[in-house]
Amino acid sequence: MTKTYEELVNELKEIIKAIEDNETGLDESIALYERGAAIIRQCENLLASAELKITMLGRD
Amino acid sequence: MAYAQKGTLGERREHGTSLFSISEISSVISSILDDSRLQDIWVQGEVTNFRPHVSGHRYFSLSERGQTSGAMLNCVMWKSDARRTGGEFRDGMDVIAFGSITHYSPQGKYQFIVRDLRHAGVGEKHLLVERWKAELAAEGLFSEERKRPLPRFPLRVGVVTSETGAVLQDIRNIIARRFPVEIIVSPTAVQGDSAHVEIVAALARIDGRADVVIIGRGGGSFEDLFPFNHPDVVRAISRCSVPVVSAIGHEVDFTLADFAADMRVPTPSAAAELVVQDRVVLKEALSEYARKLGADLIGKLDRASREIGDLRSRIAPGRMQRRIVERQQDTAVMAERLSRALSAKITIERLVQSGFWEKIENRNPLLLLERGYAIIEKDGRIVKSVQAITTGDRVQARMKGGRLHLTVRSVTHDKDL
Repeated sequence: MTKTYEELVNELKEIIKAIEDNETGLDESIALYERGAAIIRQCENLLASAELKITMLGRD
Repeated sequence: MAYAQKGTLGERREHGTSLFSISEISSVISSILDDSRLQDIWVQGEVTNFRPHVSGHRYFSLSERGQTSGAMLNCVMWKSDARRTGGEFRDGMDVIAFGSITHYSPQGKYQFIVRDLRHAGVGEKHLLVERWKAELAAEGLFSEERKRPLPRFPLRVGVVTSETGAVLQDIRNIIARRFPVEIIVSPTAVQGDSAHVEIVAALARIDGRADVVIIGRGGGSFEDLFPFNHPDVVRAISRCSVPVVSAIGHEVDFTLADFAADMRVPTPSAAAELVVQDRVVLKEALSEYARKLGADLIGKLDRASREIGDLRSRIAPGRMQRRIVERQQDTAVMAERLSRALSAKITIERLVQSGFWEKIENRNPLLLLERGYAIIEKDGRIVKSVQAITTGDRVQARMKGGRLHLTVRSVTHDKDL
């Protein structure tokens, strides 16, 4: 199940918050950073690949 | 009531009855006319005696339709209201007028101050909308608590509108430019007698297929927009399982559908802009996140590095240095001993290998004792020859395990000596 843009951005915000948290250790922060960087790439791909599509429903 | 202030009103008396001043009686009349039944009311009648004034105000009368000698109401419509209402205006028109009865004391007459005025046919529809509005509001369909937030990143945007109108084109253009997503169109007629039925069906069809729905229509007359006031449409909007954005008519037009929608915007373009975010802005936001992410980690690394530096400086460097020197000296001593031990061992091994060690071992006099020999000592010195002994000497014989204390009884010399 791929995450939506919104879910990705929310996770990213959580990661930034966690890294900013003094309780989070350095090792964990580095792991979080890597995850965050991956999410940013994923988001950029989503933005780049967005395509307009028009679906017309029938009036039945 | 105000005129019941007996102490101040009609105090002067003439021929035994109260005597009023004009302003007093005028004030009584004003207060009587200030009655809720005469304020903010709709009145239906035929326009008569229309006298346009150079000032822009409209002076006219409203009469019972078809009756020449019936009741009549003097009316004034001020310039600003006349301009806002606009439209054709002439004697004989059947209208409904909205306003309040006031007393105009300088001329001693009451009049109907008209703030809104419509053709009776249209007017009746306005009244109907007013009634619907009250009913639907009572059902709670317009309450603020019902309003839902829009999804921030919808993947599918539903549009309920005419498939041929400019509304769809506007929405399509904006969404294509800002953030292309799937647009699901549920086509419907947007005006006409049965439009409300179609709009309800179109809403039902799209519900569940989109993350947010825009219901839109271009500008038009009150009559054109009328289907969007229909209670069935209003209820269908409030029933919709996803948020609905309404963009019906122009900014000044409000329909009941607008009140029921989760968001109301003045134009279809504005609806599209509200529903999808601008991709450029999103990219900028991502860059900002990336910058923040990096800065946060670098900040953390900096802090960690400072911490280590701090700890290092706290480990009393002088004492540490002394310890290191001591250790180094210990090590040097150990190394020397080790090297000596090693070289000694090597020497011994070499000797053993050469058989020399055995020889040395054999020459150890104490080893002779092991083999059963004895050593004779006289006056603490080893006696190397029998010639050093004479009869009667006291000597000691050192053997394995101890000494013998001997007195020499006789001495025999080997014959070769």
